[in-house]
Amino acid sequence: MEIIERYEDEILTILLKGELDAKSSIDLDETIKMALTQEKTRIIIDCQHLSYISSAGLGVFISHLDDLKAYGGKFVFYGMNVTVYNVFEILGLHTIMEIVRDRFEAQTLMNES
Amino acid sequence: MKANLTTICSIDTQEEIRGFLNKFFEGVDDLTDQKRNQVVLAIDEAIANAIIHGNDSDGEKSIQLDLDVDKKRIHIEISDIGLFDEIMNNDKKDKDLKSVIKEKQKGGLGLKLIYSIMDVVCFYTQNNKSYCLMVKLLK
Repeated sequence: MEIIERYEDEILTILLKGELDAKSSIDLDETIKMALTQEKTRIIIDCQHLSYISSAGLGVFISHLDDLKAYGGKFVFYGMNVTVYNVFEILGLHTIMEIVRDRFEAQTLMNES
Repeated sequence: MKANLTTICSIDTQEEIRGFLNKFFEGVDDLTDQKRNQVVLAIDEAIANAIIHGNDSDGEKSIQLDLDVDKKRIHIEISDIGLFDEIMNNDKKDKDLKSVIKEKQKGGLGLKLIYSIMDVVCFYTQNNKSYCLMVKLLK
C-alpha cells in the first residue's frame, strides 16, 4: 500500500493506494499520529485508488476521530469504490463518517467547518 | 469445489491469501461481486485475528484454511486459531460503534464484520486444536 501526503491551504490530503489491511494500517496510523503532532487536523482521505479495507484500517480512523474533533478538525473521505463503501455500510460507519463523491465536495465540506 | 491453504502466522501473507480467495470464489456461481468481497473480508478478518491475537504473529506457527462450496453454501474452516478462550469470553461482536469510538479502540470491529457477513459463525476446540467455522448460504 502506498500512502501519499499533500498539505495545502491548511488541509492535509492522504492518498491511499492499494489495500488497507492489518499490515498497512500500521503505517497509516503513524501517518495520522504524525499529522496530529503537527496540528494538521483537517484531513481529507483520497480513496480513489483504495481497493480494499479491513477492520484494522477502519480502526485507525475510528481511534483518531475524537482527537481530531477535540482539535477542531475532522476526516472527510472521497472517491470510495463500492467495495470499500460497503464495508463502512456493514458497520454503520457511513452514518458517522463524512463521505462524499469527489475532491470538490470534500474540500467544500471541509471549508464549511 | 474444494480448496485448502496452509500459511505461516504472519500478516505479511494476508494480501496473497486474499488473492487466492478472490480467484477461488470467482468460480462460484450465485456469488455476486459484492457477496464475494464480503466473504473474502470475513475470512481475512478471521485469519488476522488468528495470526495476531491467537498466535502472536509467531512465524513458526501455521494456519490451515479449508474451503468447501456446493450449490447451497460456502463452508469455511480455519485452524489452529489459538484464541478459543478469548472468543468465548469477549463481547466484541455486540459492542456498539459509539463505545468503540469513545474508547478509541483500533480493534473490536473484525468480529462484528464476521458476524454481520456470515450466516453461521462458530468457534470450537477439538483434540487441543481450535477452529473457526463459518458458513455463507448462497440461496
